[in-house]
Amino acid sequence: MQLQLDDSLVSFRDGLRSYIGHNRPSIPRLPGSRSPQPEDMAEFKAWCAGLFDNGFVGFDWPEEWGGTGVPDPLKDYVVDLELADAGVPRPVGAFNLIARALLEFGADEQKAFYLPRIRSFTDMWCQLFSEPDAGSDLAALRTRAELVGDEWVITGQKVWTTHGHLSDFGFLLARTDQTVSKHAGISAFIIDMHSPGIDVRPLREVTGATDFNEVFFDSVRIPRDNIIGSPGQGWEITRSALAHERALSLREDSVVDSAARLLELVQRSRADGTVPLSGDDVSRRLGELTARARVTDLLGMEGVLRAATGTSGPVDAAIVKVVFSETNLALATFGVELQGADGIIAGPASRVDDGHWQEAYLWARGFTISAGSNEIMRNLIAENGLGLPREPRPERSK
Amino acid sequence: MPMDLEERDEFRAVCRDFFAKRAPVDRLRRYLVEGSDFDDDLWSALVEQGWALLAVPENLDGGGGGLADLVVVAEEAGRALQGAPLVTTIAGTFVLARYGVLESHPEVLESIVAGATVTYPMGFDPTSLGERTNSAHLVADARPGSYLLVPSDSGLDLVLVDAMTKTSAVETMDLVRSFSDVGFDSSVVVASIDDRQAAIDLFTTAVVMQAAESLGVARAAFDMTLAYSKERKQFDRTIGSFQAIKHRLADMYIELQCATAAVAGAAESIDNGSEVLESIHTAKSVGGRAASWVTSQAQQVHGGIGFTWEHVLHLYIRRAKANELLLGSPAWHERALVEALAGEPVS
Ligand SMILES: Cc1cc2nc3c(=O)[nH]c(=O)nc-3n(C[C@H](O)[C@H](O)[C@H](O)COP(=O)(O)OP(=O)(O)OC[C@H]3O[C@@H](n4cnc5c(N)ncnc54)[C@H](O)[C@@H]3O)c2cc1C
Repeated sequence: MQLQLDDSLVSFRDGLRSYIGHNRPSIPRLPGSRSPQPEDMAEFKAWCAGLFDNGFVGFDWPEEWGGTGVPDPLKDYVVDLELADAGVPRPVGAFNLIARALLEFGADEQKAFYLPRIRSFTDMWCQLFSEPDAGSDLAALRTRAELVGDEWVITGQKVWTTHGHLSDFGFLLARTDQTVSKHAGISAFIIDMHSPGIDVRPLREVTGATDFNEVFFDSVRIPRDNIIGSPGQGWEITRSALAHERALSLREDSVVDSAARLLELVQRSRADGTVPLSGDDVSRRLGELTARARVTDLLGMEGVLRAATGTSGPVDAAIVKVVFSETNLALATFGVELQGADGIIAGPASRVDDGHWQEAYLWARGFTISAGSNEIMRNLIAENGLGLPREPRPERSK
Repeated sequence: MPMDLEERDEFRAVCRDFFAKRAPVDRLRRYLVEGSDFDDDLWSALVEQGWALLAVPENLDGGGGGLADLVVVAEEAGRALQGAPLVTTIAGTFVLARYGVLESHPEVLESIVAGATVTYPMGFDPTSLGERTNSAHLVADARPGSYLLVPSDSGLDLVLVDAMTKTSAVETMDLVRSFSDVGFDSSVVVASIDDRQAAIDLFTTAVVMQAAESLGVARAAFDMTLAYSKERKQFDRTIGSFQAIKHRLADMYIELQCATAAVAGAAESIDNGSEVLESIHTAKSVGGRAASWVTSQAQQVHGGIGFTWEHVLHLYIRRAKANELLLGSPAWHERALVEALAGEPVS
C-alpha cells in the first residue's frame, strides 16, 4: 500500500532521506503534537529551521517569502512519512496556521517581521482559541480586546493551549465588539507570550504529562498593529487558515504501524507459555482492526491525491479525522486488553513494550476531541456533505 | 487497457445510466411476487451491448478491463440489485482469461460471446477446498448452458452445465439471486486448470467483485434513506434534522467511503499483483461488514414502512447479508489477514 511516486518525488524523497541521515537530531520524536521537553527546545527549533531552510517544509510559500510558490500535497505527504519512518521530530505548534493567516490577511510590516522568523523557527507558536465556555461553540468566546490609545488591552482566559508553556508568540482570538452577532465580533491577534499580565499555568492531562495549559490575561497590553486584518475579521481569518491545515494526525501516528506492532505483540508468549495469537477471538479482532487501519491509510492516500488534483470533497478531511481517531483508539484499547490482568501494569514495570499501550490508551482520546470533536465532525458531514438541515444555532450578541 | 481516472468516471456514468433505464427499482417488485429468478431480458441486453465481455482480453475482441475497471460495473450492478448474472460472468471470465482458457478453448469464448453465463460456487473459501469433486454447493444462477467453475485443491474444473446436470434449487434469504447445488458427470468437464493457484485466483477475484457489488447495494440503500430523511416529517420537522438521525447517516456515509477505498485498493492490488491477500481480506472485512450495517441502519431510519414486504429495502438487506456470509465471512477474512501478515497459520 504505497503511493506511486514519480521521478521528481523520488528524488525529493531521496534528498530528504540523505538530509535526515546527515542531520539527525538527538532529541526523540514524540507522538502526535506532544510538546518537546523544555531542555530540548533549542535543538528542536534548529531542526525545524533546517527543514524550512532546505525546502522540505514551507516550500509552498510565495517566492518572495522564501518558498517556491507551488503547493504540493504529495510532497507534504512524503515529508510526513519520511520523518515518521526515520523517527525524527516533525515541526509542531501553530506556525503553519499563523503563516497562512499572515500570507492571506497580514499587513506588509507583519509579514516582513514574522514570516522570516517563522522560517528560521526562532519562535514557538501556540493557538489561543478555546476557552472554558467556548469549545465546540468557539464563536462564543469571551476574552476581550479593547483598544485603549495605541494598544489593545486583553482580558480573559484561554484553555487547552498546547505548547503554551513553551511559546514565544500566540495566535489569539478575542472579542472586540460586544454589540454585533457572535461571529462578527471576533478579531485575530498576534500576542507576545512574554508580555506582562500573561499567566501560563500548565495543566496535567490524562497521561499525567503536560502538553497543554490554561492561559490568563490580566489587562495585557499589545501594540495596536498586532491585529491581523481588520476588527471583526477574526472568524473569517481563522476559517481560512484552518482550511489550509491538513488532516495531519494520521501521518503523525500511523495506525498501520500500530497494527503491525500489535501483531508482533500477540506472537510473543505470555508468562504461562501461551501465545495470544493462537486464540480465535484474538486473531479475528486483530484482523478487523488491521483491516480498519489499512483502510484509514487508503483514505488518507486518496485524500492526498484528491488534494493534489484539486478534487477534494467538502467533508473528506472530516471523514479521515473520524476514521483515524477512532481506529487509533480501538487499536490502543486492544493493546491493553490483550494483556489481561497484567494490562493494568503501567510504565516501565509493564513487561510489554515499556507500558506503551497503557499510555497510548489514554493519549489516543485527545484525537477524538481536539481539532473539532468527532460529534462536530459528524454534524459537518451530515450538513455539508449530505445536505441535511443545520443544527439550531442561536445567535448570541455577547 | 486499464482506464485512467477520468475515463473510469465516465464509464461509471454509462453503467449507472444503463441500469437506471434497463433495471429501474420498480423492476425489483417482481421478486416480491415471484421470488428469485434469472432476468433473461436484462441479460440479453447486457450481452448485446458487450457488458458481459468486459473481462475478455482485447486481443480476443473483448473489453480487456482490469479489475479496477470491472469493480465499477459490479458496484453499479449491485446498486441496481438486478437479476442478471453479470458479476459472476465477469469474474469467472476474468479468471478464465488469466489462465488462457479462452484461447485454448475457442468454443468456450464463442459461447460466452453468444450469451453463455459463467458462475461458481459461493459457499467456499480456500481453507474449505478439498479433493476434486463432481459437485458444487451454493452455485449462483446455474442453468443449462452456463459454465461452472469448480474449485478444488487441485485447481479449477470448467463444467458446462447441461440438461443432464443435476441442479437442485436452494431457497436462500437472497430473493433476487438464485442458488442451487449442482452435481455433474465428469463428461461435462470441458477444461481443467491443474494449479491450486487458479482456485485461489477465482476466490480473490470473486471476493473483490462481491465486495464491490455489496458496496453498490449499500449505496442504493443509503441514497434511499437519505432521501427519505429529507422528506419524512415528525414533530413538525424532517426526521433528517434530528441529530440522532444525522449522525447515523454520517456514520453510514463514513462506512461507504471506507468500503469504497477498500474495494478500489483490493482491485488495484490484484491488477498489480502486490499484497493481494492482505487487500482482499481488508476489502471483505470492511466492505462486508459495512454493507450489512448500512442496510440495517437504512431500515431503522425508514421506521415501520421499511419493515413491510412491499418496500424493496429488504431485498437490499438480504443481498448484503448473503454476500457478507458467502465467499468467507468477515471473521474468516480477518483471521486470514492476520495469517497472511504473520506469514504462518495462527491456530
Ligand atoms: C489534546 C488537546 C489539545 C488541544 N489543543 C488546543 C490548542 O492548542 N488550542 C486551542 O485553542 N484549543 C485546543 N484544544 C481544545 C479543543 O479544540 C476543544 O477541546 C474542543 O473544541 C472541544 O471543546 P470542549 O473541550 O469545550 O468540549 P465541549 O464543546 O464542551 O464538548 C463536550 C461534548 O459535547 C459534544 N458537543 C458539543 N457541541 C455539540 C453539538 N453541537 N452536537 C453534538 N455534540 C456536541 C462534544 O462533541 C463533546 O463530546 C485541545 C484539546 C485537546 C483534547
